[in-house]
Amino acid sequence: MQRSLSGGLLPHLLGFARRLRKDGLKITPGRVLDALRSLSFVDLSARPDFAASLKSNFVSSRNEIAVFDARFEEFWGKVQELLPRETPSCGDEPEAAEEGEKAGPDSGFEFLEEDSAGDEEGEKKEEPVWSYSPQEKLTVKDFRDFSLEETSALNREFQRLISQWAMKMSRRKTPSAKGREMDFRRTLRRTVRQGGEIVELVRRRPKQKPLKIIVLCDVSGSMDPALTFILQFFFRMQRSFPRSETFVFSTRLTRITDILRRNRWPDALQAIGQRARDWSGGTRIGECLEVFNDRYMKGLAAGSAILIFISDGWDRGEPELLAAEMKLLKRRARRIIWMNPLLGAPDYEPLCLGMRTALPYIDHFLPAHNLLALKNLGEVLTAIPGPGDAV
Amino acid sequence: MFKTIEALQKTLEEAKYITERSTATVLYLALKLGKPILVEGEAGVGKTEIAKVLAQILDTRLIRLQCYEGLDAATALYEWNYPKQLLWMKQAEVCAAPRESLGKEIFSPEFLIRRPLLEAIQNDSGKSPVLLIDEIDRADEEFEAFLLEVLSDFQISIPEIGTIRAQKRPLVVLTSNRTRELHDALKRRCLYHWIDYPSLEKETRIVLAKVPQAKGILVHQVCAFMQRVREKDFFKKPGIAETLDWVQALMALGKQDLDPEAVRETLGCIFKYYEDLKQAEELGLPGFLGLFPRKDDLTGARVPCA
Repeated sequence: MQRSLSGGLLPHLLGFARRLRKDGLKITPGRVLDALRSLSFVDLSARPDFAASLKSNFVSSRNEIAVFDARFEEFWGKVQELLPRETPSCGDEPEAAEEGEKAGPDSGFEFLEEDSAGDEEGEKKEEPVWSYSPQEKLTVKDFRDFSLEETSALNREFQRLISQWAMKMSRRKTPSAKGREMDFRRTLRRTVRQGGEIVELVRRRPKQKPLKIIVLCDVSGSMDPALTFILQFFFRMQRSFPRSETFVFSTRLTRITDILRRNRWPDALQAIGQRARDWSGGTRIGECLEVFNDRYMKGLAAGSAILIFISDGWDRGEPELLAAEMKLLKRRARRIIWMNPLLGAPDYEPLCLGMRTALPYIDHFLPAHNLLALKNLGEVLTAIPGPGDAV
Repeated sequence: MFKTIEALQKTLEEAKYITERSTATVLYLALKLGKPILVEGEAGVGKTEIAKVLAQILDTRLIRLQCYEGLDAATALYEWNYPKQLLWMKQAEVCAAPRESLGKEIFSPEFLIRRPLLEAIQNDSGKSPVLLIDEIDRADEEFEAFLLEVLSDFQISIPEIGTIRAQKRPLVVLTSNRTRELHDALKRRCLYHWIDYPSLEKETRIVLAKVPQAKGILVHQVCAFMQRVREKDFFKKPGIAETLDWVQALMALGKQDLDPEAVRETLGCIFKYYEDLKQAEELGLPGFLGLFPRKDDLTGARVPCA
């Protein structure tokens, strides 16, 4: 079975894998071999089984399923035939497949070679965006000046940044009775008092509890230009800090944690727009905070959360209410960080009423207009001591 | 072992796990190839259940590793039993035992606390156990890297004892709720499978299989209600687990069929978040109820029993 497969099907399978790789699926030679092995266990004439076998081997996330399904139909034909049709709709692939048929092993070899270049190649493709814009420049470029084409580059930068923080914050250890790991140094040191007898086993645990971050992002009209990038950043953040929560607000407060968790970025953005019906409306920060304090603060924050606001502080609500709610928050949150996209401008002063009202309750007031600003956020976050830390 | 996908699917159904052919195909391949399966899907669609039912139909042990933040190698793999070693040493001191043998003794398997991964690799039952690594997305990234190492060669080296190799490779099932992205390297080593919310027909069969004493009409109404609910945007959409709970709750209250009052009394079975309860009220329960098939329609739509 295996032999007959590699004769007729292998070139097509390789062609199919190559096609999927063009769409960004991460298919290694190992996976192709496993797919081939899988096919020797299923009845090739049963199309759904054939599809399911390839799918389980080639796909590695939900988002890729749609890509796979579309390509599968295109490549292997919609009808109940197994080998790919050689029609123009398949583009240049059938040719490649035919060539492969003539010289089977060669095409496999080519594929392997191509694959070992793997990831670097993928990066090379996107490099033009970077090559003539040095890192520095990208870092300080205002989000408002980014084009949609640069989204993916920015996205990778976001991810790199955030995963660094996640690492930093999980390494330090502290002694703890409930810790799992033995702390031999401390154990031995304590024996000195007992004349060398080991009386107590000291254990330790990671020093900081994972950060719990609650993001409240202003989506009112005055925030528009840089907003998608900032939201995208916190989308990444939500992915790396699973315990964080994300809300958006303008005239009302909307929790979007689940949307960020469930979707790919473009879909998430759309879903947020659908749920937050007040997008780009006016701002009533005080009222939104009242709802937040009432409904979420006790359950979610429980004394150890870091609150991050992203807002320009333009508020059309009552300043007294805002002040009262900020005061409440201040008491319950571990830290309050306010990121203001306007703060990047050299001549900015927090003159608007909302911002002035909130300012006394804020621990860190940061800009949010470019990558450098977001890096600063990282420094602030990693410097905040954990709830169990000795001072 | 199972000769065909049909045979596997049938056995699964006999074990009350109702599933699509695609799921059966993936499980079949995992058994044949010996590759781990990564199962993703919303909460409550039966991801964990896959491992349980596999262990059941293969008549083998289920070893479960529940992941959480801060899970480390000592909790997942093995740890020396330090207090026991200390006591042993004290005892040896009193008896003036020879030093060399003592060193060997306290680092023997007897002083080893075996955690799930070691259990799964060092099993001497002669049958491959099923290793369930549940909610891998909750573990830290470092743990994921460590897991990758274990899953690639199924061997563990303990410096004091040596390398332990799996006699029979365990069948590994990983589940994830996608609260964060998993690493590509881990995904590549697995067969991937996404479980969606069940169709009306599938859900009805599941409920009838799991709660056989439930009445067909009630089950159909409940499942239709759930289908409607899942089309809406809720914070936490109810899964099959909720459907089963709900049917049982309605039966405990002696309800024969679903009416607005019954729904209102038991809404807590479906929605576990304040926002969702509130939104359900805003959307209007009659909206979900209004779409119920009338009773006389039901006779036409006979529900297949599992």
